[in-house]
Amino acid sequence: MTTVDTEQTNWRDSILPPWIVLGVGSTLVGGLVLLMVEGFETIAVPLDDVSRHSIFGSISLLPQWVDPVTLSLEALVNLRLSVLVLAVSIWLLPGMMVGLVAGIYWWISGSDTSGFVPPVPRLGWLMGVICVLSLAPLGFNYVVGTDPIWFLKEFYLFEYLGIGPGAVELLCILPIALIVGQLFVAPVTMILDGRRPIAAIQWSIRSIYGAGAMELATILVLSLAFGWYIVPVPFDVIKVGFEGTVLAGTAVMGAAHTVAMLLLYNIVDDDQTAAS
Amino acid sequence: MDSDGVSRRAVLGGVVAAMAGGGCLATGKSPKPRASDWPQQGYDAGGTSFKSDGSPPTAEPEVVWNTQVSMAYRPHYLRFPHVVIGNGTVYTSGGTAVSLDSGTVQGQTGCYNRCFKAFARTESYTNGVLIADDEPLGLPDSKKPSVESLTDSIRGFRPDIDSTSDCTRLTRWTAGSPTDIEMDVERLRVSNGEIIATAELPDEGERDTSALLMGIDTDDGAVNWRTSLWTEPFDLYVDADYIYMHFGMQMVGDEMSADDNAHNPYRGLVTVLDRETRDPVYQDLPEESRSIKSLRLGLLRGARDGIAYVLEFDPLDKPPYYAPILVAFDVAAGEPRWRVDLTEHATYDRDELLNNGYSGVGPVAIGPDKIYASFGDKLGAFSTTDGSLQWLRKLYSWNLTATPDALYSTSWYPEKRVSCSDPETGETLWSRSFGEDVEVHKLIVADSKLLVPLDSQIVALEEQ
Repeated sequence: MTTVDTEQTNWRDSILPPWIVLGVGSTLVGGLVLLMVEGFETIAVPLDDVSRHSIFGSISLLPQWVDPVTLSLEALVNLRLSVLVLAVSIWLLPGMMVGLVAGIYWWISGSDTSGFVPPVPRLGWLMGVICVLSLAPLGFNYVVGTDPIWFLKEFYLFEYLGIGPGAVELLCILPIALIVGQLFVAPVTMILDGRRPIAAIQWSIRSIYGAGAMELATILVLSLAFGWYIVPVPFDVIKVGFEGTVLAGTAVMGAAHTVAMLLLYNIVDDDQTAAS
Repeated sequence: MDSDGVSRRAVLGGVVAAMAGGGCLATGKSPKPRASDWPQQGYDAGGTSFKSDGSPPTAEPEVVWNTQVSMAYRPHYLRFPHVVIGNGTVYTSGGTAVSLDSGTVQGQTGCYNRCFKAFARTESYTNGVLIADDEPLGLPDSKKPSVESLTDSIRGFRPDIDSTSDCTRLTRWTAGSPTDIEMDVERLRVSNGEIIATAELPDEGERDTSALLMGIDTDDGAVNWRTSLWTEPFDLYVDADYIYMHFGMQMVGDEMSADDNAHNPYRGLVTVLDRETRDPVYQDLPEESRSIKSLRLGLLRGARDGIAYVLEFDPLDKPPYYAPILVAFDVAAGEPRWRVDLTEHATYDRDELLNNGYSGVGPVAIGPDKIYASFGDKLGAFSTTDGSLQWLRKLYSWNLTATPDALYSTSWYPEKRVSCSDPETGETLWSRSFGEDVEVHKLIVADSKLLVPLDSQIVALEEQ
């Protein structure tokens, strides 16, 4: 890093430290989730209560939000077109906000970046990936006839072998965390290195494997999934209600997830740099 | 009433409405029902059994289809398996979907122990919503599902039932959306885009009321408002301005016996709430009624245009605790508009009737100008304005469905028949027997057809 770069980074940090961007941004995401719920109520489209969901469903590549609710395919089928467009748009907003906050945080935490906002094309690709990931379960449900988690839990082979849904969850959670773990730094490299989605995935798999960080990536994914799963519990106990759970839970876990992705990126990136 | 929810919705909803381009979607208007929908416009929340839309047969009809269906019965309502119609499809309480036009079976849902209670048109969805509650149905064991994962609540189902439909894939919302509410639903009516229900919430251990009255959005299942009740009502009726409830009385002949009524201190009490504010409407109550905000009127049989139609409470307070006296109680005026002693018009042996499990007053159908009532051995029509007798004929009838052009009834003596009478004169226009071995249930008017639900089949009649 040159002296000029270092000065720019110091100047940027003194104006807007990354942790403030992350804290405020993650809280804003929580607020946007509340607005989203109200938005669905306003357009009278139902959301599914998933407050009793399994840890299986908490495994996530990208930071998410504390989601006591989700949008199911059943709520979208037969909607009037104008309402459908509005519902899908509202549903995508918090995800886009997550991408924006994470992208800005990664960018201003980068040692060889300048300014506060990543280049628009990089943000655009990340947003695109987020949209695809957000809508993929609905698309899967539409095509296959059940959501991906239930599809796996009720897969005929497991049924044939007499393995129940709970046991399937235990059996599959590790392999799925392993797969997601290998992709864990792909979004970060899209922002910091400008890689396109396919290249970012290839780089993520290669560099995590190369750095011997497969176990670490898997543990991170599992830990975060567990965190997303249990974070509503204490809020429920101390009675902060739905709004408090969404705001505080999203701020804490969203920030933790974003930081964990950057930490792993720095580890594997340093290893790649050293190797070259 | 959840005032916190309203203010939060006002603030946050306003932002979203602005995002949605002025909130043009949330118009608050319910789409107009079709002539084939059943129960009819407003979903007959007043229990009037009167349908103004459609042109069912008034001359000798022919059978246009006759289809075997799965029909389920509730222990409390053995005579009334629920059948609802929406989008030209007939949904039976056993979960069969039948085309109204052709009688072809379109599918059988896996929601065997859910009873479709109503069909509502919605703002957000093009095909409306089927509404079901949690009340168990009397089904043979072979038809009960092996797995039932749904908790007790009110649910909205997609109406597009096909042969692969199961409960999970059909469920669009659970009451309370986005946070599901588990509840024991007692009574449920649907009126202009809103479900009005009484329920107990098993999870709310700290509450000190025994029942709740709730308004639930038919589009998304959100609870628009809730208010506590001092006890659980036996029945519930709704019209444009009021919510009517009666307490502590059950018709003799159903599961609850006269003895049960005897032990209920609330027998004969009727409470009417303002539809908008949910405040009790009676102003000048006797002192003993002020705490419970009810009047001891009797057994509520239906409501229309601000008039509660009740069978008067028996002044002797003897089983069945109401007399064969029909009263039209004007809610706004707070006093009866008229009172008709039905025993003056019918041959009554009340003791014999009671011994046979029959109260002596059967069903009523309430039109804008006339109320039709079956009582003793007679079927009669009375003016809704002053209670004057319009016509009277001998007929033992046990259910009525009225339209502007026809009054349909099923009779059980001297033989089981479906009859169509002229609503102006009572003259029989046609009648038809379906045999003595089958039960004929509530007759349904669906556009140009009259549907006759039998034990395990539905017969559609249409004018030749």
